[in-house]
Amino acid sequence: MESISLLELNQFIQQSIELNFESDLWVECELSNLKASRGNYYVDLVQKSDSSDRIVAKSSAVIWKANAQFIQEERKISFSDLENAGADVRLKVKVDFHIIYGLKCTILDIDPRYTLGQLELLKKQTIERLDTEGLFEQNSSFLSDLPYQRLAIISGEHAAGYQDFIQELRNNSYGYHFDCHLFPCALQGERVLSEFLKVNRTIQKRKCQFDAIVLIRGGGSKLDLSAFDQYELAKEIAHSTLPYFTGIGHEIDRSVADMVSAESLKTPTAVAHYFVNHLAQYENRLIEKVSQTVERCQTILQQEKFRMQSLKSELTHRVTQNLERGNHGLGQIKMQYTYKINDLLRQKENELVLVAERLNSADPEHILKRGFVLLEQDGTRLTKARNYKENSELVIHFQDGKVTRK
Amino acid sequence: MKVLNKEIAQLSYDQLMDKIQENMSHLENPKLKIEDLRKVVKDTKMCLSLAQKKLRGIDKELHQILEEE
Repeated sequence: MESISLLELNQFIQQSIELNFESDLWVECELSNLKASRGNYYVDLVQKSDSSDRIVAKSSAVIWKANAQFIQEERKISFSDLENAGADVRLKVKVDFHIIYGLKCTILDIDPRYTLGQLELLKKQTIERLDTEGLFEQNSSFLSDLPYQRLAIISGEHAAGYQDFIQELRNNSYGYHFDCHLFPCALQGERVLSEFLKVNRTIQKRKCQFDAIVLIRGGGSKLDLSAFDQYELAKEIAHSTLPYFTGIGHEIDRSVADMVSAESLKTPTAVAHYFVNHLAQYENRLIEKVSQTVERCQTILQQEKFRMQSLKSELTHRVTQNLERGNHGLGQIKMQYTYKINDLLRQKENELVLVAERLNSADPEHILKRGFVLLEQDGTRLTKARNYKENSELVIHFQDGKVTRK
Repeated sequence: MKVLNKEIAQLSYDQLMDKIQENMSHLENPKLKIEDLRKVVKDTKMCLSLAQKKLRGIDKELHQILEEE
């Protein structure tokens, strides 16, 4: 068999390709393994099996700097977002075969409508999955009437949206204070998911220090928003026990992150407004409650005052009544005792009179006055005749003196 | 049987009455000399007079209390 040189082979392939691919082609595929170098992008074009992630076709491609600038500026498409989204793309390619470097597809343009349609399809699938898992209402169950003043903010430190948000909170007309802690995170590009998962976990570990999580960014293309349509990111928001407030900054479309968060607003400024108004409403409710409580207390005090006055009157009446009864009883007792004591005194006086009479009758002077005499013999009173002694001296006592006889 | 006036003055009404009863029982004693008899009568009269005064004092006091009320 006749052989040919490699150069002849490659020249043959080159000619065949040039003959068969005279004009540019539209190719449907996915982007993978994107690398940037000096403004040029090197990427693999891949096609996966319909039923699995198995690659069934692959080819290297390049986007030269000029084409890359055209696609990014005119088509508003970021290559890294495309790669991250894993969406199908429709690329306008020129097929080349270089004798030394081999087959190379040069990407000239991207069909944005096709690409965004694919992204919408992916988003729809994510929404359906989250819905099946019941994750849409989960985070909103953590909404509260209490104020959100300690805020964990996921954003870029230099992002315009973050600065707007902070300014809005600081310059609020009520003078409320908000304690804001920034957790820096990429808001576009391939690092969004990994950085978001990292900061979200950090915040969840410190959840006692915060009232809410704020996810804000300053707007961007529709394709940029696709990072916030990723299932893993949305699931983390749904499972958060702190309420998520998003202000991702897209006027028309809501990202999946917006859908699963407790509250989604159009812009970071709108989120700040929400917190200020929420706090103002809370303050109003508080003032109203205090006012109601004061009013209620005054009513109770008035009622109690009336009750006390009524009790006082009743008590005074009863005490007076009882005192009157007591006085009456005491008067009766006094009368009774007066009678008894008087009786007793009269009785005692009578006793004394009787004693006096008895004493009078026993008084020798009284006896002598009445003309009787008293006899004494041997120093003893002589009251009986049989006790008289003939030879003893007899003393006769008269009223006015005594006489002695032998 | 000697009873000092000072001692009598310190006795309460009931004690005076006890004293009077005691003296009255002595008066019944036939062996008592006439002089002693006179002394007992004198003491008893003194006790009696004092007891009467005390009774009058109580009576007066009672009336005062009643009048004050």
